[in-house]
Amino acid sequence: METVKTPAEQRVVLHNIGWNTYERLLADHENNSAPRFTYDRGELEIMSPSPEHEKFNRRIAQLVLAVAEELDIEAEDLGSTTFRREDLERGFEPDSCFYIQNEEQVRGKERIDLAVDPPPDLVIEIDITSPSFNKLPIYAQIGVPEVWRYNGERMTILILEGSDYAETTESIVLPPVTNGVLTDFVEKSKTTRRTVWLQRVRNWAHKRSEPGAVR
Amino acid sequence: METVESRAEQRVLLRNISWETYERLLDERGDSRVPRLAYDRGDLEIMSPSSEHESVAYFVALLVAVLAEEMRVNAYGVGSTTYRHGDIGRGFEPDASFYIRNEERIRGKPRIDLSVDPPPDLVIDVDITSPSLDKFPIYARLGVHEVWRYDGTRATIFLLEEGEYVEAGESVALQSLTSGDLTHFVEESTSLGSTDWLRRVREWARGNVTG
Repeated sequence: METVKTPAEQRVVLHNIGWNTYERLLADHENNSAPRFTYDRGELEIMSPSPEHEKFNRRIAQLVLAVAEELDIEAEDLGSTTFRREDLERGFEPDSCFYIQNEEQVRGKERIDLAVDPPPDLVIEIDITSPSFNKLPIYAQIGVPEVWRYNGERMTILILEGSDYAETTESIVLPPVTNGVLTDFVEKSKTTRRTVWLQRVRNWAHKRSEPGAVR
Repeated sequence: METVESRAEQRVLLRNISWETYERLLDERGDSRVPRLAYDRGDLEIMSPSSEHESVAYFVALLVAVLAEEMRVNAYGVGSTTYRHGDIGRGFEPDASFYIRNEERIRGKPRIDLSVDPPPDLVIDVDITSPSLDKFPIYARLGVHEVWRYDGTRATIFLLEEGEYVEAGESVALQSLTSGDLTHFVEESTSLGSTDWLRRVREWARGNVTG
């Protein structure tokens, strides 16, 4: 007997969608974190994450907050908040996102308006199945400084340089995190109980928060 | 127990979508037949079929065309036309659809308007992965008499009886065709070359159909 497994993400793409239609769909889904809508000049991707996808999403978000806390860095988790710029005809809803360097600028804000507020400092993107379109140009246009991508096996850290992202080993928004450390922790999260796993993350971060700590 | 990941369809379900938004999406998508939209009183399923899905749909539609020809029955194929009825808040785009009993009323019509035209007599639905929106209530409310559904393993013929679909032993649109025959033909379409497959379909038709 076969079990049909749901893929980690279900995605559909609609073409030639007007900005107004995109906004209407967002309005109908204002309080839901799924499905997630990504818009780029007429192309609209709608993505439904599976529980497997969301589990990785939650763990990575918990890692960010735990590391930030241990390092005494302020970080605000804004989850899958909608970020959009009508003037650029682009919008996205990340798997998770954080304000770290710019946390104070958005503290207490009920809504983010990219016309006046800064973009999130860190965006997490999980793509276990191939994405239908490349979201990096959207993040670049909106000015997200750092993106972490997880493909089911590896975590990649991407830093915005000009109008493109470059793969790098070390995080800038959350030093001393590296892609190797992230990949390792996410891999371990597959088989470790959450509480134990989180404690290991904290221990790791704590060791690196001490003065003269070795990376 | 084997675990298989199927990508035969990708689906997302949106809720609380107004009829106006549904129509806007249809308009903006334009003539493209993908992705497919199905709407039921606020719930909207958007589905992208893979080549596996499309090839099953193709062969079932071809089967209808060939059997209809052999049986000397006029079948008017309308493909994955959008069928919608704003007054009752439902719409769908099947994998294939045919007018058979009502063929003469529809033949040559540039547009089908369900507020005045009859619904298709036969709808083909391929759902290898589970649909996120049950379309049977939509078909039922729009009055589609016969639905053939293929779920990746079995093909089933359904007939509308008193507002609900009931599994039927035999097709009404193309008499003497059973769910078993249909399943067999779908399976063969993935192993036989199309010319052999077509020959077998015709042989079956000539052997099974009298007159």
